[in-house]
Amino acid sequence: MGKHWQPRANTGALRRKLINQKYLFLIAVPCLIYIIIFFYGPLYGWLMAFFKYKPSKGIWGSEYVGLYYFKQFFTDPDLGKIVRNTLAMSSLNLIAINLFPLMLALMINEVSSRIFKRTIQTLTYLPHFVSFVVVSNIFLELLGTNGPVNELLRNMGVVETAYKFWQQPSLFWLLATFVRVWKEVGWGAIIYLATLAGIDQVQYEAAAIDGCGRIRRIFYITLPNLLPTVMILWITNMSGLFSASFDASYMLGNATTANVAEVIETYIYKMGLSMGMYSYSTAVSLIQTVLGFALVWLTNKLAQKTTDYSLW
Amino acid sequence: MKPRIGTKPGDRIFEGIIVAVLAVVGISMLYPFLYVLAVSLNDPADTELGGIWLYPRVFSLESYRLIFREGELFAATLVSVARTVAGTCLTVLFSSLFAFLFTRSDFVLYKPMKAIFFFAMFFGGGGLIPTYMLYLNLGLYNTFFVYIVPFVINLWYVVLFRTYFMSIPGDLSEAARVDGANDLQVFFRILIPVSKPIYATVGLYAAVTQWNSWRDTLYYTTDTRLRTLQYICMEMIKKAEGEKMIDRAAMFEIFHGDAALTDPLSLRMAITVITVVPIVCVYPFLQKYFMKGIMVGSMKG
Repeated sequence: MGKHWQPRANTGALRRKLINQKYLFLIAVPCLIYIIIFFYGPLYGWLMAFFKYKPSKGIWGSEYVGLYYFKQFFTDPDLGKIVRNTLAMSSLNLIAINLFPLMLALMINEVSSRIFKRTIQTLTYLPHFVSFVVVSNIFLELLGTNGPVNELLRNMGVVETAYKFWQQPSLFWLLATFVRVWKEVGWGAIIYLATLAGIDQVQYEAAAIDGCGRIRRIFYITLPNLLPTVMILWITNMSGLFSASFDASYMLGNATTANVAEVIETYIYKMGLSMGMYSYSTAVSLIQTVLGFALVWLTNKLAQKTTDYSLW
Repeated sequence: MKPRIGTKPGDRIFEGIIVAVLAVVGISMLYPFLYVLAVSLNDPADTELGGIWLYPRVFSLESYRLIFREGELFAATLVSVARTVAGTCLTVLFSSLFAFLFTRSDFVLYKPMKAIFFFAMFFGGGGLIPTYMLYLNLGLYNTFFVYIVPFVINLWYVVLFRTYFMSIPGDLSEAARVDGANDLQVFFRILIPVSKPIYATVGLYAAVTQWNSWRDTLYYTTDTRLRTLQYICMEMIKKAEGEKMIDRAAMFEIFHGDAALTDPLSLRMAITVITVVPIVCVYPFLQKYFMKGIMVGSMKG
């Protein structure tokens, strides 16, 4: 670097740099150790899927069984049911969680009163910050046999005895999706609203001069401008297709809806922690994780091919 | 704010419809919370008759009194508060310290650190059982620390902090360094005071996440003393839902009319109110700060 190359001076510079940065090391070393333990540690645990894991023997002391547990999962008679439920609940959720926030954002964007806008935003964001336990509690009771919805239906003469919403297997997926949308719709709209705020107003003025009404302006200006955001959110949300239904399934499901409520996540929990089948549960987790990655990759590829937008 | 050019009569009707739809959406967001509040303030025995929909029929604070009288619930509240306070402080401190390192590209370990970070971000963590085994081996299982230690560094918060730190002009820290301040002093005396908004954002979000957690209690603890408010609420819901399966009349037969079979609905709703109130209290701040946060988040993609 310098004009006169002197190795000794260079090591001296490095030493000085190390001494200068001693406090940075003081922060870095514990942080990195922490990251390695808590983020890389579980990766090691994936090995359990290939061993007949016994906690007393450790992973390497246990018997190596190769793909035994993977085969067991693929021959499980419940496999079809669980995969069907997972895909049904997740894809309904995926569609709803991408569509409704977009619609909400478009609607909020069309309102001219700022106070009304703010009020609607404030009201719709709130459920995002409330736990799923609370939200489940609310909807289990609102739609419960003694709840106000049944009260209303009875008073209107629609039903004679209370309708058991939460004990209808045919309704479960829709209700679970509804609850999740109710919780997240406002939050999901924020990102669209932010993008909408960034659209150049000149485009709207030009369209207005050309005689475009408001509905046509939405289709010709607003939506094309939102497309990149929509695509990116679709791709990132894809990773959740095989997961992220635990809360809804566990909290809203019950004995009568178990057949339609059991998803991969709850199955992993049941097999792993309730029944202690550690290796088997890990194998199922591994399949789920790999599928999640594959889906994101595929969607991204597809997005690259069909539109110009992609994550990487 | 937006220029309204070329407003046709049809556009007026269009906006009218939208306002009506949004009003319905707004009410559907507010109503469930009002219902919970009404039920929690109603007399527990009276609630079981049903028919409460907007306001308490027989006003009573009995449910709230029950919560504070029952040691179990009070203890759970303390656990919830403790994990929220301790967890938030630690995660904010260490995530921001770690982020501070990523603003120093001259740091000797910068490149390996970055590699370790990104790999952890994309592939780190693991399934339920690998994580469970890790906590078991570390001795975190079934201790209070399992609520805190796994969240000491949140990679996502690190990204948020770093983005904010990078937007601060470097002159400030440079001037302090010239004056003889070391890196730690620069961080604590210069960087933290000028980064209050991001500390508020991340702190609030971390606090809400901690307060709302219940799955870690389900997965990683068995000790009843470690139960949080959310977890107890969850347990009560599950129990009540289980009992709904049984016919009311049959239930009376089996339990000989034992009235204390279920935790009363009003009590469950009162617990719900107590878990929601802190969130509503910090909500104005969440709204204020979080808009910026999510914008940074959207940049990441």
